[in-house]
Amino acid sequence: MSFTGIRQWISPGLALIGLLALWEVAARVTHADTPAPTQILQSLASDSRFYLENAALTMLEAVGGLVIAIVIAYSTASLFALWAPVRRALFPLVIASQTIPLVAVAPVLATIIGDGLFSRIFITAWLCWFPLVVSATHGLLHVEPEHHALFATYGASRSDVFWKLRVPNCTGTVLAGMRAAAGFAFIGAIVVEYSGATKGLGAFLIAQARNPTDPVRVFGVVVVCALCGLLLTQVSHGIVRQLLHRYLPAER
Amino acid sequence: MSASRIRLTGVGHSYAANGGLSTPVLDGIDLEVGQGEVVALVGPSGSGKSTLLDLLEGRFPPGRGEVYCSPGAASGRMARVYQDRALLPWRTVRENVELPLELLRISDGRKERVDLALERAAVAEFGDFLPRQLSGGLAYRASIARALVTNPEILLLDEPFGSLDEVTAESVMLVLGDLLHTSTSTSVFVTHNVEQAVFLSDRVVVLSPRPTKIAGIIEVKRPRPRRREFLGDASFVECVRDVRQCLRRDRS
Repeated sequence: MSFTGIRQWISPGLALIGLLALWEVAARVTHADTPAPTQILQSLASDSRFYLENAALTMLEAVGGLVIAIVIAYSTASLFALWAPVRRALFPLVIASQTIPLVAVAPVLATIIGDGLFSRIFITAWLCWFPLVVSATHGLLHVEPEHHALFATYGASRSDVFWKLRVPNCTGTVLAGMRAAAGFAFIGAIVVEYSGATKGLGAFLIAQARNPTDPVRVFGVVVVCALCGLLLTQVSHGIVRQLLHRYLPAER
Repeated sequence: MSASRIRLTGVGHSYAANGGLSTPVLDGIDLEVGQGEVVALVGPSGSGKSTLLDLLEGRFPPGRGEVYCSPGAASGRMARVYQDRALLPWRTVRENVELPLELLRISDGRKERVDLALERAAVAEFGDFLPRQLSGGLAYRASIARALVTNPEILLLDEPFGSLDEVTAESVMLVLGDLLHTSTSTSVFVTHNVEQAVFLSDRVVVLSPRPTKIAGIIEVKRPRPRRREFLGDASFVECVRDVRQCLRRDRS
């Protein structure tokens, strides 16, 4: 990271330290139920097994869901790109499906396909496929007219246009979709656990919401959730970036 | 003039605008271009120069009249160099140049043909570069190499020097002049620049403002290839003056 890169993090870093210090002082002075940051850190260190076990399960659901979503989304987007009647019939329904809130969909899907790890993975996939299918469809369809004309000039087959033009053309939007989908995948995995799971970060949070017994762990889980979400987003973004390096638009 | 490769007879074309009104662009264009001839189309902005190339490329049929172009679009024996270069950003220069051969399923001597085209367009040393790593002049030369790799019988060039600075435009013009001379292609190019039109072509076709007609045809008698010295020659100056007069006469 360049000096300019580091410098842009100085102000938010200092602000965060200031806020944590204020929180620490407020928690110690008021003796409220809200734990102090140092208590949360202590819990994260001493109770790491609890956090790791639950985070691993939620991460498994998120990553599994994301992978399945990628496969389904790109297959669907390819269908949409290749067959306009299918796109015209189904794409509006895909868009409309996203007007239903995440928290409303998860329990309904859990009722339909049942509880258990695999069904939670599938529900997570359903929750995060939307940004992928939209971005991939957009990328596959929106080809520069000159590029299209170039292929037409040489009598390119439909398969050539798809594999040599449309697919590489959509990689820029894939990256944007992947970033959004990774975020959705983790949120999705937590929300799915609200509907009957006994283990996982989401399951712990919902249990504590019903019967609050361990506020320090609740805050610890929130911190772990933030870290896991960040990790998933950054790692998936990094992997895609590495794989599709040459296909991406120039850095600005 | 030798046998016509391109013949436009009474060609007119209009673009549909919002509200159902149509804007006439071309009106009664008659033009013949012989085998191996280089013709420049010069005219004010919006005079339908690129539309004429689109019609020759067979992107759409003319509203009126007849367009004959042999060999036609999708035959693999026509090539177009686009104003914005239309290089695929995820392919290296070499891979871009190879693309027409891939699409036409030409595998015999593919490497040699690509090498030769890169060499002729003076971009051999940039074969492994991605388009985003090239300057405007190099990108244009790379797109010329791509057009030449199939030894096209018809070569269409859209605003070859549109976005280039004066020095780069002149060097590209000299390279293009040699290429057009050594190639057997019948070439039509559109440009705003009168000097470049005169330097490169056998005939300069001056187009009027919309609805566009042919305002005049100026023959450049000096045989090709022309050297840099031609730019200071009395016959060059005279041709440039004639083209400018023709452009002005039709505007007034």
